Amino acid sequence: MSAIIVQILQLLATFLPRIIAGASAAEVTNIIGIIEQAVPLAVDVGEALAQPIRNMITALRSSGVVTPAQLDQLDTQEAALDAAFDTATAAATAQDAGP
Amino acid sequence: MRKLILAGACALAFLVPLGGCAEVQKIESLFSIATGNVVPPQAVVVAINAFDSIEAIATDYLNLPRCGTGPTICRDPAITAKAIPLIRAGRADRNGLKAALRANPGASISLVTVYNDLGNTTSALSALFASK
Repeated sequence: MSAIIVQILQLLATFLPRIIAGASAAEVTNIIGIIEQAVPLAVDVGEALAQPIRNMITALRSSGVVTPAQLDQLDTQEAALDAAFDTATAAATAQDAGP
Repeated sequence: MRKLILAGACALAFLVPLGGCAEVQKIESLFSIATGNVVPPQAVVVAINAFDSIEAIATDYLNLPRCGTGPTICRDPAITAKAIPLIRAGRADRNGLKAALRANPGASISLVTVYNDLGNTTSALSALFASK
């Protein structure tokens, strides 16, 4: 299922240059529509994946201004993501170093 | 559930000019490269969350049992070895971008190279996990 999410991220990447260039409202709506299709799939994988995808939708719907509250939320989200990744890395590295 | 996923993938395929599921699967690293002097905060937040999404996927992958230990859904140590430094590099870029957003509230930021590096890292990780 993660492969689908990866493909959606890759599709999203094709639209980011348009965001930088100043996409029209219709284009942004299309981009949001693509990402929204990822949410139910991401929820099945887990909240750690679903929340960043929701954040992308929120960012695209916003006026472009990033608030301190949004940055605080990112900090919280990423502290959990980083901790989970570090735990998984330690376990995988130990397993790969073994016989 | 599999039908739903396939339907979703095909629906997405029609939203891009290439069209078709097969073409979607061929899409390689396409993360945007900023060529101007600044990047708008909206694009930075999307790029940061795209990286966070791939970090979550990487964590799930690393939690799989190592290939060769029995289960058919497994973790390849070679991919593991590539993914770990990429995630660490991406984190550094991500944190730098967030610091720039805090320091310049509401403004576009000038860390174009860092933004592009994060995009390249996300693309590399996407390619790594695309077939997993």
